[in-house]
This record gives sequence, structure tokens and C-alpha cells, in this order.
Amino acid sequence: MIRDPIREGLAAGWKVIDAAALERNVDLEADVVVIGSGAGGGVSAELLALAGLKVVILEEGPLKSSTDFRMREREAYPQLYQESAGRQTLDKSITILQGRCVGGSTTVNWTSSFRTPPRTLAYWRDKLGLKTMGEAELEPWFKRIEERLGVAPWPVAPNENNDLLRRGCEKVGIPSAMIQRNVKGCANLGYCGMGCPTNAKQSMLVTTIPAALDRGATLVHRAQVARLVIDGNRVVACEAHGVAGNGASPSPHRVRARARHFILAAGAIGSPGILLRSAAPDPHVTLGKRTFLHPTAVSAAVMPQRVDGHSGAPQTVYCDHFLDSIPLNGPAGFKLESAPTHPVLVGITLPGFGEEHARWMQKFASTHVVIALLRDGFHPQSQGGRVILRSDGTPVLDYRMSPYLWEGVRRAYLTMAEIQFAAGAKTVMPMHESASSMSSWREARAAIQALPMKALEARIVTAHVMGGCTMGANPRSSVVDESGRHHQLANLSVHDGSVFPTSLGANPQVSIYALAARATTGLLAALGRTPPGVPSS
Amino acid sequence: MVAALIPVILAGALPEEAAARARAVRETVDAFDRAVSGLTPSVQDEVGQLFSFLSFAPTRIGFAGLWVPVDEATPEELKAFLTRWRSSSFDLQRYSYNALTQLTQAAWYGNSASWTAIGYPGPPSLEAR
Repeated sequence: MIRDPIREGLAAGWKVIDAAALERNVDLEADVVVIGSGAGGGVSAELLALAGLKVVILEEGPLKSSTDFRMREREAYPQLYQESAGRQTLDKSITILQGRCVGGSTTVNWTSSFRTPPRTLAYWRDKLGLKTMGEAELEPWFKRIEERLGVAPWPVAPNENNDLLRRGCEKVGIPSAMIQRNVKGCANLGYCGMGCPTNAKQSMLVTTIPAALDRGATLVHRAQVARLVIDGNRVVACEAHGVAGNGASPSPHRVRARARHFILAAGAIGSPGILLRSAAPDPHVTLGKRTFLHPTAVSAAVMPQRVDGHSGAPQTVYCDHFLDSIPLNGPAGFKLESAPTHPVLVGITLPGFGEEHARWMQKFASTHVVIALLRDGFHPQSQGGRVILRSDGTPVLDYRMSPYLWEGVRRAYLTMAEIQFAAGAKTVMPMHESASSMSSWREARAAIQALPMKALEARIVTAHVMGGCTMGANPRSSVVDESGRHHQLANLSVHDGSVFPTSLGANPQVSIYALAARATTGLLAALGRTPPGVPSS
Repeated sequence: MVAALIPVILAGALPEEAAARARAVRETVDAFDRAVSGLTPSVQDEVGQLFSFLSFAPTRIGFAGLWVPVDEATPEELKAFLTRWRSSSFDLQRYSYNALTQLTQAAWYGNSASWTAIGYPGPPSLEAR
């Protein structure tokens, strides 16, 4: 029997409110209100609660836990993801996977743990003028987070889906390496994306959120923040209403939370969305701008042997050769990783329909998947998109792939095909509506060169959204300062991926944790509290 | 209307045997509807609009090039219109193609009845743990 720490905590009397089941309006008072319970909100809430502050956490998604995590896509996607895992950019050409549950995306991510690449930090310092984001300054924060969340080298051999990437890179003569993971006692099942059923993944759901609740914090889930109530240069309160599964049918009752300070950690679409809805001051029209993705291209191959990419840790091997060997002002660089194969994920990613699609699905067990995550935000033709509000007030990302990024997608398709053939693929197919199965590298090279690079033909997906409330010293070009404090609103901070001034070029969770830990520690000092266990730097 | 499109979008994937096939189609329709109801309300409206377009003869003919109602069209006619949308130069038609096919594929491959045929053993058992 697997212990369920959430159900145990609820039984022990945690203060948890389901905003979708309210029978009356609720008014809460706190020292700090944290909006969002993902990577940024979770880390912030724990530190605040440990310092003795009264904390209220508001989360749009439901509180689900290991007992609910049954490793079935059709249950997990509607329960745990934004828009049932069908969130898209405004033009519908990019699918965005983001968590919407307690723990946010950390509850459903694939556990890949990378520090912010030094090259990205150097760019922020040299080109964007950030003064406190050096490798040395961040080192103690990374260490602290890695200890807290069990980030460590993964001692188990990669599954075949990942090992094929490793072997393919080796044959082609480029380096690959092993990915660190935030797990403790992982059973190597391969269902991280549907919520960890054994609580091995050290997501916010099983680490910082329980720690904050143990210290008396209040969690309000299924609570969608309608707006911040702003008076002059201060946030006075935050108003939320209960939401059902799809974000529809708001409950007639509302939650109003007042506090000395507010932390926005609703993710890089949600946080700009809340500020836009609240008509927050934005004198230089920077809010929601420079929202970056790692647009991700996908290549599938059929191997002669079984791959069973649904089984075993989903991401354990990566290749940074096409980030490291390309200058930041050169063509679009990309990171190579594997992606797990589950029937719905594969079914909707393979192009085509009918017999053609069914023939590929019959090779499901032998299917190998490589993904290329393009870096964004470092080149004049890679300036990200913009978060705007739909007429119903919900946020949506308007993001168009530039010719520069499309060129990167084509190069990524070529590279992935070459690696997959080198690893022994019988056939390779880029996930693109005009592509077909190709049986040799020579054939693939010609076919990929001829593919039309356009929206809604190439399957572009992403799980990483960054920017939109970018940090910077100059309020004319940013929304918050380097400590996460809003330039215009004195008692508002932003602690999530929306503060990054470019994409990271790596899976973002560790960067968000470290930045949130640092920003919260600074905030505690400003609020006259002794921060718990400040690392020496 | 979804029920008419499912055998075309899932040709080669649905069970052959009549009763199993009918059940698979029924369950896929249900799962399709559930998936749509999980989308954000504004996107649900767009999917609703797509089905209105396909129901109303002038827009069905103009938008999908389909001269007969979807429910009366042959599989060949349905396949032809999906294929036209797939390679259309209009974003709206390519998007509509993606929406119809992906919602249907997700609805079917989320169903454990589809798993044996593709060699997916299903999630592992946790009982021994």
C-alpha cells in the first residue's frame, strides 16, 4: 500500500478549501498571498511559512494526489493540465503542455533537472544588463534547491527510448550526457506525466506545499484569481472564484484574500493574464511581451526491436551539442531529448488519419521519439510572443514562429533523422503533415529539405513558457526587478518562469525553484523576518 | 456527426467485429464530447462553430466541399474532404482538420480497448509495491 501524504495531511487537519464547493463568500487574511502552487509558488510558500508568516496559497487547479494518479492519459490530462492538455497558441499552431493542479507543472513534468545554462546567464549579464544573476551568485541557491528536492544523477540505466538517443549521438560523433532527476525511491515506471503514483517525484505537491500546510498555511484550490484589487501603488486584495474542471461554470461565491504582500506565481501565461485583467500599471507597455517558448519539433522512428518508450524514466539522456556549438547570435540552437510514448500522446502527434495513421500506430511498441527544443529570445528574429486576453478575460499566447525559428526546425528534423538512422531506425518520420516515412538517411535528407515549414503543418509542441513579466533593472524594458519586485506595485512580487528575460535553453524547473528561493529570502528580509537557512555565498 | 467521421479518421484502427466496432464508435463519440467539454469555453465555442459549419448546407459546401450532409456522405467523400483540409492553404481549414482528427485520435487511444492492437500493455500494476 502506497502512502498518500496529501490524504494523510487532510486527515490531520490541514487548512484546505475547495473554492468550487463554497456555500458562501470567504474572506481570508494573511501576511502573504501566493497565487499559484507550482515551482515558484511552492518554494515561496514553504519559505514564508517556515519563517512564521501567515500564508494563503491560491491554486486554479484541483488538489489531486497519488491515490488519484492511475497512470491513464484520459483521466490525467483533463484533471491535471491546462485546457485538458489541449492549450494552444492563439493561431492554434503550437500545443502548450502546462500543469493545472496543486503542484502545477511540477506534478506532471518529466523530472528533468538542469541548472540555468551558464551561457544564458552570461547573456543576461552582458546583453541585458542583469547584475545579480551570475553563476557564482546563483550557485548556493541551486545547491540548496537540489538538496531540498533530491536532484541527483539517475543511477539506473536509461530505457531503450533514451538509450537509442545516446547510441545515435555516439554513432554520429556528438556528445550526449545523462539528465539529473528530482526523485527519491523512483520505481522507474515512466508515468511522470500523469502524476507520480508512488510519490517518488519530488514535486511541489509532495514537498514544499505539505511543508507549508504543516506550518499552518491555507491552501485554496480550484480557485481562479479574477483580479488583484489595486489602490495606487499597492495591491489591497485578491479576488478569486471557484472553477470546475474546464475553467467554466464559476461558482457564485468568491474568495477574497487580503495581505501585506502578494506573490504572483501563476506561470508565464497565467501571471501576465492576472495583471492584465487587474489593469495593473504598465507605463511602458512591457506586460505580457517577450513571452518565450522552447518550440519543440518531434521526430519518430520505427526500430527493428521493441522500444516501449512508455516504460521507464521518460527523460534521462540529452544532447546539448546543437546549443553549445552554435553562437547565440547564429542560427537557432536546440537541445535534444527523448519523449515518452503513451498511446494518446503518440496518437495525436503522428500526422495523418485513417489507414496511414493506423499503420504507424501498429508499430507503437517499436516507436522511438526524439524531440528538439529550440532556444528562443537570443536573436533579433526570435523575440517571443505576447500574452493577451480573450474577450472572456482568459489569457492566450499570441506567438508566431519566425522564418529564423522555422529554419531551426528543419535543421532539427535533419539532425534527429540522422541520429535515429545511426541508432538503427528502419524508418524515420518528422511529425509534420506533409512528411511520410523515409527508409534511409539519404532519402530523409532530400525529403526534409523539401518540407514546407509552416504553422499547422509541422507539429510544434512545448512544455516551457517563459517571460511576459520579465525582470530587469530598467522599468522601461521590464516588469519586475531582479529580486522579483514589481516596478510599480510596491507590495507585489512575481516568482515564476514569467520573469525570465529570454528562454533558458533547458527544462526550467530548477531555474524557477532557485529564483523563487532567492527572491523569497530577499522578501522575508524586507518584511523584517529572518529567512530560514540562508545559504552562504 | 462525429459518429460518421470516426470510422474514417480511425479506419484501420477500429475493431472489425460488428458489435465491438459499434461499441468502439459509441465510446469514442462519448470521449470526444468529454474532451470538448474539458476545453476552455471560448475554444469549445470554436469547436461548436465548426460543427455548425458542417451542418449548414451552404457553409458545408463552401467550407468543406461536401455536397451531402456528413451523416449521409460515403467514407470516400469524407476522406476526400479531410484530405483537402489537411493540405489546404487556409489556416482555418488546416486547424479544423487538426481539431477533428486529434480529438478523435485522443478519444480512441485513451480507451483501453485500443491498446492490445498497438502492443501497449497498459499501465503497470502497483499492487506488489
